[in-house]
Amino acid sequence: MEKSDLRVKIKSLQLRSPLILCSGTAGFGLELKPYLDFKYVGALITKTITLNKRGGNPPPRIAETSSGVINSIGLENPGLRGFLTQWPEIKKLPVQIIVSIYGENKREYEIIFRELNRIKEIKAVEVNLSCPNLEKKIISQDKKKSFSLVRYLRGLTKKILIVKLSPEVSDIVEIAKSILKAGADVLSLTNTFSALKIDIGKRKPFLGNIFGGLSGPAIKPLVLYRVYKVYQALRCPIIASGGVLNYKDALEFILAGAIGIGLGTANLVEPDSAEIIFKDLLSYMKKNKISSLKNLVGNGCK
Amino acid sequence: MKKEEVKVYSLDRIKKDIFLLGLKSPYLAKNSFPGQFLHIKIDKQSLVLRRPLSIHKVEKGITYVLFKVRGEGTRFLSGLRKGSTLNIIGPLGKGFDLQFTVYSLQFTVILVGGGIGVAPLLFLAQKFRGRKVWVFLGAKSKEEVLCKKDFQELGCQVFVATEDGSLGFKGKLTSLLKEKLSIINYSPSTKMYACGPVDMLLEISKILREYPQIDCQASFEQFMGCGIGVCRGCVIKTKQGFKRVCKDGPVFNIKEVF
Repeated sequence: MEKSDLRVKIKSLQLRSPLILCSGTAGFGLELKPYLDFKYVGALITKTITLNKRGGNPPPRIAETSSGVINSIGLENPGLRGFLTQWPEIKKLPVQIIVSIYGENKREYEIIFRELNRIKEIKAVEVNLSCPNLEKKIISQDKKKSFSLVRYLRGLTKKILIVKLSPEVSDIVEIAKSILKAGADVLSLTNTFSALKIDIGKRKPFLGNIFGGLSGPAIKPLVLYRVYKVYQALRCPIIASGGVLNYKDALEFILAGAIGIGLGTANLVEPDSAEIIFKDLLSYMKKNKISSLKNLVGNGCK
Repeated sequence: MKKEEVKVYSLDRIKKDIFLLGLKSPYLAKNSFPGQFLHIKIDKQSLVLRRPLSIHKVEKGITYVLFKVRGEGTRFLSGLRKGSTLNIIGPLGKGFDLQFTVYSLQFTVILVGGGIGVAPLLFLAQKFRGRKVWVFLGAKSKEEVLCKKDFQELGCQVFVATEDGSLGFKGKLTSLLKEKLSIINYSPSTKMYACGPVDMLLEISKILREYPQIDCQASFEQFMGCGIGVCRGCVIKTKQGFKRVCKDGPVFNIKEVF
């Protein structure tokens, strides 16, 4: 019997699985330990770290809509120091850790990178240029600003630089192209869509922060469209995240051009979603006599 | 806590929109503790998130949840059939703290349940069997008073308040509580456990300012994501910043919150 292989390589990052736990839906991994066998996980992207500790947005922070979830956590995190304090415990997890970061300005990024660069176990960093739950404008919606920021960040580190983009732009290919040109190694497509829910009983917005970001199966076709467009135009390494709940969803993204499959909302429902999807992907490949997942990447593009 | 497929042992309609769901799981029956909850997957494509429901009681190896039909998720649960399967993560959360009770057998325990908030308190009353327990139940009307008989069967003294006066005290549950507290022989070991609407809990915290000796633990609610402490979606505001209902709670000392 032919062996099927789910290993993927994203730039120099060798991953045993294409399944990646999205930032914000896996914490720092510690709470997932009782539920998840990490051998099915390619990498875990941490909750976004900021230089200073952030309390996050007022509750309620989470709302359900048809086939989707709106969240407005607001980057609650213990800050760089808090993360570094927990690092000795985090690094014991048997999984590749990618650190997600966000800085208010260049100086903050500089300090964050200065610390992260010292940690050799961290091979890649994801820059969150697309959180919809901040008062500031989303950086990755501005081509010029994001180009200049990513160019600056490129100069700060030799680690693999992943940039997470907002889906809410008129031309995602243009933005993607300029961010790659600025020196990003990998694109993370995409963050959530700005969304609203109104409580008709109270006649006011449901979420404490009024607006939130929509994720889940509701956005899958929208993100798939963007992954397809970007891959068609740029043939670059893409980590796709947009409502993947099962192996069929994952396959769609792989066929559209993604090499890494982000699991976000899926983790909130099934903490072991990576294991379930990995096993299903493997049976699919065996059944269809596909030896390596790599061979499927972008295969669905016409 | 773990994730498992659990068979529905029974589903009974208790009141117009209140259901009692029995689950057959030796693991849950053995490991559940009062104040903890189950995170139940709703097998319906449009509903993505699990639903957190507090554990109502454990009897003869069956774990029960008592719930009110509020939205699509609970409506789905109310339509389940005996023998069907549910995917459940649990038991989750920090339950009520019962540590002290060994030293204070002679003192009264007070349970306060507003509406469906009574759900986790029956499980607690089961643990207090043989103790002097006062139970305060509040509802809009007689038809909506829950579990009165169950508490009485456990030997609890039950006080009822209904808003329309159709059963017991006429008025708010907290008004009745206030009245009874003035005559109780409380001591520093008197413990109160509450669950119900947040307005009720706030009212209780105000009443307790006059009784600083009474320690009160309350179970809080919030819309929830993962249920296991990862996503930070279910926080409530406490005096020490935001805390997760799913992991730091759902039970908090009322003084931590108000």
